[in-house]
Amino acid sequence: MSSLSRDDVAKLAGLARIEMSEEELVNLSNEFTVILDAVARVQEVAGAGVEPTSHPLPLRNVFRADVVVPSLTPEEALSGAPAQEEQRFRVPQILGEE
Amino acid sequence: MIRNSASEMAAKLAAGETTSVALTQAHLDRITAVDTDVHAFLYVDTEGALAQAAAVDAKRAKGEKLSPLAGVPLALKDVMAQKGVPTTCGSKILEGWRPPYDSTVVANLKKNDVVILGKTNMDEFAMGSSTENSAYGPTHNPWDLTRIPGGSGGGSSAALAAFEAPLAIGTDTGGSIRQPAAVTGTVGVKPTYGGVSRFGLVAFSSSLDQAGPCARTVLDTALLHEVIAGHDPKDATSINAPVPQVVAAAKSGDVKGMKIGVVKELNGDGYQPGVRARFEESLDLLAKAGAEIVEVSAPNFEYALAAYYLIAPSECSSNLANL
Repeated sequence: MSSLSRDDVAKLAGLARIEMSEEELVNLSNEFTVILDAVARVQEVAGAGVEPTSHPLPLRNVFRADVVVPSLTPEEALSGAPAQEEQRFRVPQILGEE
Repeated sequence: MIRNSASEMAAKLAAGETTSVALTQAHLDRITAVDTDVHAFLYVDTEGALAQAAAVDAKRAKGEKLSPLAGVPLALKDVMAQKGVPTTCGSKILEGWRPPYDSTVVANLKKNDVVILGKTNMDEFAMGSSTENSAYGPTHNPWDLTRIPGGSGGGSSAALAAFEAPLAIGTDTGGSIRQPAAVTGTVGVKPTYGGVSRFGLVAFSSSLDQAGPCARTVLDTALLHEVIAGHDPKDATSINAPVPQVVAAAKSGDVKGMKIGVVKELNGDGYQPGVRARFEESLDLLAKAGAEIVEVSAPNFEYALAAYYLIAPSECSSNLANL
């Protein structure tokens, strides 16, 4: 049975830039173990002989006709933006100058 | 009046015995009186609801042909986008967001003149089964305020049980409509996947999420289903076929000759004795009414929960990655 230690979680949290308390690290390592158990359970049956299914509907990919329909105005689309400029979302810079 | 079923309210409206404004105001008053204790609502849209109600009354006065639930109030789970109305999913992350568009469910409700009272509490992003995990505090079960109302749609189920609304919208990924209905003595249905559009529903797990109707009677649930269901080109998994006539079925109640499968693999441990007894009773009632009860086997059922614990977290990690 696989499991994830507290240290494994701490390493993952560091990579994901998420600060975690000692209690959270321990709780998450337990929760990851439950998920890994679920993986093991599903692997018992999900062999090569099992056909993959996502939903029971007889649906393939769906396309719509390429016609213009009314959509949001720029003002509506940007109504939730904390900052905007020239009809665009303004976001903090993450790369260096130039 | 607020203790009537939605279909009784609709009949009174049609007969001119009351108006939608009066009916809506009665529910708003009820919310003011009890919601400090129940906490079913995150946002009450007093102005919007009364305006919608006045518009329905005006249409009726002019003799326009109206939808069966026109003028009846409804509580909307806060996971559904409604134009101009705060939509938080029970999370501080989305606090203050007012969607610039209506979800298809909301558009269908408006088109049918169902009056939207406000947004109901839920576990954050619909992840939970008790409504204790809302960033805005828990909802309480109106039958006993020390108990949970179920979840994630505990706000919708509690609003129904507390007579704050006769109709509500829920969403169900792994039980979020059905389990709150069960623990509040109300009715909730997870429709067939693809039966109700998911456009404008903040996604949790796309291959499992499904919006559905909640009410206090089976007939009301059926009436609401026919309002919200149907094909939507904006949802790629929407079923392009006529909506089954569930209202006619609910009205006739005829189950003669109907074959009902009872899944053998669900016959295991973990049921409270009372729950088990009620389930057996309902099977007896159906059999007496002429239905044929047959045992069916779904051998992979025991793996369902494990599969859920893989599918749901994987899809929600992807769907909510941008937050």
